[in-house]
Amino acid sequence: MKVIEVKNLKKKFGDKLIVKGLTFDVYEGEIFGFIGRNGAGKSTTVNMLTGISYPSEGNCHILGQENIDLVKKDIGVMPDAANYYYEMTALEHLKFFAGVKKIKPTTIELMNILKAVGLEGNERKKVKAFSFGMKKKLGVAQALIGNPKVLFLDEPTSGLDIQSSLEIQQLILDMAKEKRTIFMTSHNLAEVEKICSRIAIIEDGVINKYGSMEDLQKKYTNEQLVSIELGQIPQNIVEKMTEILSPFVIETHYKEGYLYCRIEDRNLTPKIIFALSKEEIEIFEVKQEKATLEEIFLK
Amino acid sequence: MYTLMWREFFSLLKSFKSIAVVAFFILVTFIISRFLGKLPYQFALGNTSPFLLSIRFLVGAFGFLFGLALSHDILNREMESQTIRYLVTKTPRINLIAGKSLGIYLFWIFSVTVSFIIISYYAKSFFLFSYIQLLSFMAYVVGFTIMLSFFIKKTTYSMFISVILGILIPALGAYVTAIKIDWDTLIFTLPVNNETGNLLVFIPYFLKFILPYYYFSFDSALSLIPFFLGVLFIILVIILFKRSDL
Repeated sequence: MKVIEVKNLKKKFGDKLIVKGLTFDVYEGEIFGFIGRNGAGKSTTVNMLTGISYPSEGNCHILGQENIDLVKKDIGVMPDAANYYYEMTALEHLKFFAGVKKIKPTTIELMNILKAVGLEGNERKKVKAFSFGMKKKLGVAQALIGNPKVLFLDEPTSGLDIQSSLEIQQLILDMAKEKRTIFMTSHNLAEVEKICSRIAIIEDGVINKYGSMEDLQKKYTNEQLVSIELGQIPQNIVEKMTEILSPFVIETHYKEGYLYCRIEDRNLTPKIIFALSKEEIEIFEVKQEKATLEEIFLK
Repeated sequence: MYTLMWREFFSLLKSFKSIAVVAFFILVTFIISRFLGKLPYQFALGNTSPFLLSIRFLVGAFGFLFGLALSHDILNREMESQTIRYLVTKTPRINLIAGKSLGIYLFWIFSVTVSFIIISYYAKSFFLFSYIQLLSFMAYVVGFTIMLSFFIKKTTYSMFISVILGILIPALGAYVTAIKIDWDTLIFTLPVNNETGNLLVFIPYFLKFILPYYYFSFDSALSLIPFFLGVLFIILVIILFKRSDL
């Protein structure tokens, strides 16, 4: 089921076109990663999807509705740049935002949300005394009020320590297991690679790469890296290695019992293994190394 | 909407400035009414209570200044600090404006009511019509304040402008209310001499109907027009706010 449907979404600021016609869908229970360089149009897109700003052209449907007002109860948003009421405590914030959303969670439910994001013990502390990381966590917490079906998280872990980042990542994964849809942006590509089921890479207002990690790896990496764990081999064979494998590989590199081969097509892997066997070289393990999101992003 | 309304109402109520405003209204009403009470009968306005004259004068003269000074930043403060982003993702924008407007209006209803109750106790009479008139006037002030806070994006500017307008508008209001225009002369001469100079004659006359002071002089339902003008300002803000990027 499509939860977010975006068609030809454009945003102009003055004469400048920032978002140049985005089209994509996000499905139920999916963690959708939206990545791109600074100024590529990520936050502008999130703002348009969540009603913070309006598209200049095109449209987006959230939970089947074009009018975002009709689904505000069912969505949770953590905008990239937003501030708090410094005289209020974390718990007061959640109570206030719940009231604005016209829902009445119990104090225990709100405490549990704060606990889930790692703000346990700081519930009654005024936000003016919060660190940057704590404010980030409160941003995630306020998005969780009312168990929303769709979550928009704009850089939810930026500026957090490793432990906190991992906790938020786990929280996102748990929510996706409960069939909630998460649309997130991040500059942490390793995090996106780890938790997102599908990814869109936006560059200069246009999506130029889009799909699951596997799709992206297949589509955007022609070369493959194969690592082969070998048994003991004499030095003369090591020196001959490049020559033996030259018909199949672009480049070889031997280091501490491992042979790394850069090949054009993964179908060449059996031929490499056959060539090595012919030389009576023991093979313990063959691993197909995949391109990282970082490599795909930079391509 | 109601959460926002109560938040605005209580934050105004709890502030020192608002307590000072109510105290000012009551205290000055007493001082002026005592002064008016000592005047010979022919100087006083017939049967009109000096208390009533005082409170009407005070709201008319200082309503704008206090209204704008207390709430000039009701919208732009949220936009400037970007707290509005949390609000607009949780509730329709119309609820946001309506909630905030009602919150300020509720505060003024409270302030005017408290002042009237205390004054009525001493005057031994409750002036219902004047009470409604003043609430209608304050609705105009609330609408105007919301509009100012929406159009002036920076709180420092809106504070400065609100002080200027708070002094200027009552003075302008008193001036334009006193203006009388010979309609026949204007209508017949305008098509012939339609120069800018002639058109300018219309500005104070136009202001007379736009500002709330003119309607103060009516002892009829026309006194409620400022209320509807205030609502009109809020509707205008809602329409514009609905399409603005935050």
